[in-house]
Amino acid sequence: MIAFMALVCWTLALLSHGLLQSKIQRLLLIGNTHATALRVVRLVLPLAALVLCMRLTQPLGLMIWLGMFSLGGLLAGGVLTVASVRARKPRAEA
Amino acid sequence: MRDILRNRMGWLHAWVGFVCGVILVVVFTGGSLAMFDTEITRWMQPELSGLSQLTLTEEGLNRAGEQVQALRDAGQTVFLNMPSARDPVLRILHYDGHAFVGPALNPRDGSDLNVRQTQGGQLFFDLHQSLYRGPVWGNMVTELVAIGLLVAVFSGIVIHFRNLVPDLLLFRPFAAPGRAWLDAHLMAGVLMLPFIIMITYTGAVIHAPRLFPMISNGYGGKAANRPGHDRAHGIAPSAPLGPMWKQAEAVYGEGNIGFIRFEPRAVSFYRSDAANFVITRDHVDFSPRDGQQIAVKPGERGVQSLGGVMRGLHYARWGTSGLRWLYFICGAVGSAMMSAGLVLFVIKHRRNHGGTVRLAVAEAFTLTVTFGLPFAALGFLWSNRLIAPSLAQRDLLEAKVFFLLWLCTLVHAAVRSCTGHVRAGWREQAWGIAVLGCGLPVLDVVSRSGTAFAPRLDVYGVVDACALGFGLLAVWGQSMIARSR
Repeated sequence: MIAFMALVCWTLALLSHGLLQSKIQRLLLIGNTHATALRVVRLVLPLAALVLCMRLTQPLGLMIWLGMFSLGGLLAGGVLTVASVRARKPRAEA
Repeated sequence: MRDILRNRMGWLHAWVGFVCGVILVVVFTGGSLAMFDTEITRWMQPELSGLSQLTLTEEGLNRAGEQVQALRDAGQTVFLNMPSARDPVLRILHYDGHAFVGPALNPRDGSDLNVRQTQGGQLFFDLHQSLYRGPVWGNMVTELVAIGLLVAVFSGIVIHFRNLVPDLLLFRPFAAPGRAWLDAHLMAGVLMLPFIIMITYTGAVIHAPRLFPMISNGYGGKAANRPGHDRAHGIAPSAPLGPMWKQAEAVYGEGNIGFIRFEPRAVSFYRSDAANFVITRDHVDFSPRDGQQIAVKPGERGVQSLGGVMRGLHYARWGTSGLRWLYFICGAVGSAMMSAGLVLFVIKHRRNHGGTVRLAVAEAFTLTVTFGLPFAALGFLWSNRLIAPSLAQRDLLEAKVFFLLWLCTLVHAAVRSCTGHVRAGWREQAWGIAVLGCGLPVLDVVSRSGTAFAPRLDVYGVVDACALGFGLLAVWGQSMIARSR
């Protein structure tokens, strides 16, 4: 359960990180809206995941935290890639 | 100044990355599979599928001890592997030069379960740690490529330093092929960076003595089943193991005994690697004559236990199955990242060296390690069920099938590259993976129908599901290759 929560935290934090990048904003055809909220999420959720993982025995907790960064990044990257492909389709059809 | 540094690092990253990467894809793929070596071995011994969860008894252990004694009298060096959550049977094992093999016994009464002989998942472990080339040269090569990977990682960080964080999640599959592969390579590389640095550094440190044999302890990892090899031959009769086991469990805790070694002057009960994060090889020694406890010997402590920490981090035997899956996924993604790097190298050099033999060789090796290895691994699993269970030395035959299939993919890749049809070669090998992967669950069901087959989520079901998953992934992959420009 802790590992799953850490995964959710990392995925949301990295999604926020992605949405803050200008190249991804251009691909998704979105502006730089809610930047402050996204920055807060990007900062707070990894720390929340770390606090959760510290409740596990060590070094398992630390390894889960780092591992969930990798898996969360893959998930967030996948979501952004699918979104960018979908955003591109109307332009290609037009 | 910065651009000069980046250019030089770019050259270093490309060449060190390609030369080492061809081997590293094998090492990472083998290591990922080796995370589940015990489970793969169980899948490859379907005779165990009908066994319900059995508990170890003193009677079972005593009878196993008598069989070990008989083998030692015959001059073999063997040890006894204790049942665990991952492998619920007793095993009398010896090292055959590549893997620990031997009969499996029922832990309840010590009877022989008559499992087929196989190297099982340990073939992938040996491929991972020494490329199946033995503990001297094989280890030395993997050690060198591990150092090469660290060089490639740090040169890669220097090259992409400015865009590393902003482009962390940037993947544009619709971009030009070179850009799309670079995005995939960067994204997987940066996301897996903590794992790759940890696993490479610990792996390099564990086998560092291979590079400096003059200061190592001279471990040779020789095969141990030759007659007259056991120093204890004819010396020490062994007392019943049951009472010793109970005393050893009183020291290390219930279920924490990993294996039993038999020395001329002692029977040693070793603490399981799964019992603690640091692998220390703590053991309790007993007299083989009367079973009296001689000593409790702790392993390395303090600074000297650093090696145990490295081994604990690298092997993760202490971890839960969830942690092993994490290692498996990270290893597989790391392997895919390196394959993407190899493809990038080939794409970049195709502009200037298209049609040359050198490029064809690079393309052939890239294809062989990326798709040829999973194809051969699936073929290895198929051979396990198709070769007769009672055939003599069938474990070696299975290994030969694996390497023969892998060689076939190399020849196929070389022919396709030299004739300018490398894209067709990628698709054909992907189809090969798809056929073997999607067919494996069917083969498992058919070949286990004579035993106690029941559909459930055990090691058999999970291996079948993974093979099916890789098969479907290969179908999707070949369709992407067909659609790409």
